[in-house]
Amino acid sequence: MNFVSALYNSFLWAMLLAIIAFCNVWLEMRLNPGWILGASWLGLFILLWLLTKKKPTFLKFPYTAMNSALCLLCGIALLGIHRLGVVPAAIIREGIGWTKIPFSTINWALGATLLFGLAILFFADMRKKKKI
Amino acid sequence: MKKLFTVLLSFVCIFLLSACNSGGSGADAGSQQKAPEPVVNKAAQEVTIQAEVNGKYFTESTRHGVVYAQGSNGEKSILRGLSDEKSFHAALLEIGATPGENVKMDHMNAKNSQEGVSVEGSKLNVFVTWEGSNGEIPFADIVKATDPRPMDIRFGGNLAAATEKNTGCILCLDTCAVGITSDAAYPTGTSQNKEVDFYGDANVLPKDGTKVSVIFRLAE
Repeated sequence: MNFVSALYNSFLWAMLLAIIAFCNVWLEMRLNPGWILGASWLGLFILLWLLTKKKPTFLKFPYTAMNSALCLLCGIALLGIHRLGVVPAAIIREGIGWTKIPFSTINWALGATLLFGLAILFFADMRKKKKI
Repeated sequence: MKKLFTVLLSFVCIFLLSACNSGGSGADAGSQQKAPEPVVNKAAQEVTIQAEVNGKYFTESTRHGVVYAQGSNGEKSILRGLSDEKSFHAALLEIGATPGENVKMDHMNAKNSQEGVSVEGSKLNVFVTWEGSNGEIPFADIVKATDPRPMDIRFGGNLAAATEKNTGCILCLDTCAVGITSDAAYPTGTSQNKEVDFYGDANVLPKDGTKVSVIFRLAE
């Protein structure tokens, strides 16, 4: 589960980094922000995985939940609610190169994946606590 | 280590797949086929190209009106063009339009629009239509600018720069040394110095992904 948690948390940070890059019009007009998302997700995942191998405290559910909430708040602060419904979906769409997919579809998939991931991590954490 | 290797391999596969899909910058895997040619109507002196609405620019600003999907700026415009800019240039010549060829790359470094130049060349009236649009909608009506001015689209030409840069730019919302056509109402230096922001008007345009036709008609 630490593995899933590292993937999950690093994705949130990578998305935030991609959004920050996107907010720079000069960068946005010249780069594919989806590649920033992909590259930083990979880099952050490796970093998080290596750093928490011995001390997986930061990968436990409470930290993940707090991280999710903080990243969401940062996203709202950077973009506002309305743009938050467009920009992450646009980043993902541009990154995978499937420009025919509507934003709403990507938002549904993203939201469902993030909620599902959070639920998995929550129940895994509960199970671990019960065993102890 | 095995898990890490699996994840790394997955990322590399995803990256390679998306790189193959992207082509230029905005093309889907399905649209790697030859781009549809612009439709030339010599009698009406107009060129029509197909495009798709990119809803990203309802909320984000851009300087690009129409860009060919497989150009490097393919995902950076209000309308994602489905015909390439080189064919478009040839089509404009066919209807008798004269390129201005007055804007050079140096002009793009203007410190502000006062020092910039405005594109010359044949004036074009540009319209957009789609299923349910109730006729031809002037291109100016689908764009929101923070400093609105009457649109003055000109055939800039710029084929050499367009071929070299391969951005795919067909219609730029301010004067440009690479776009085949651009708006003379906003000189060079306008968007580089963030003097004006341009957005797609969600109250006029149909939803993201809708196919539209863009008509470039030689003004008398």
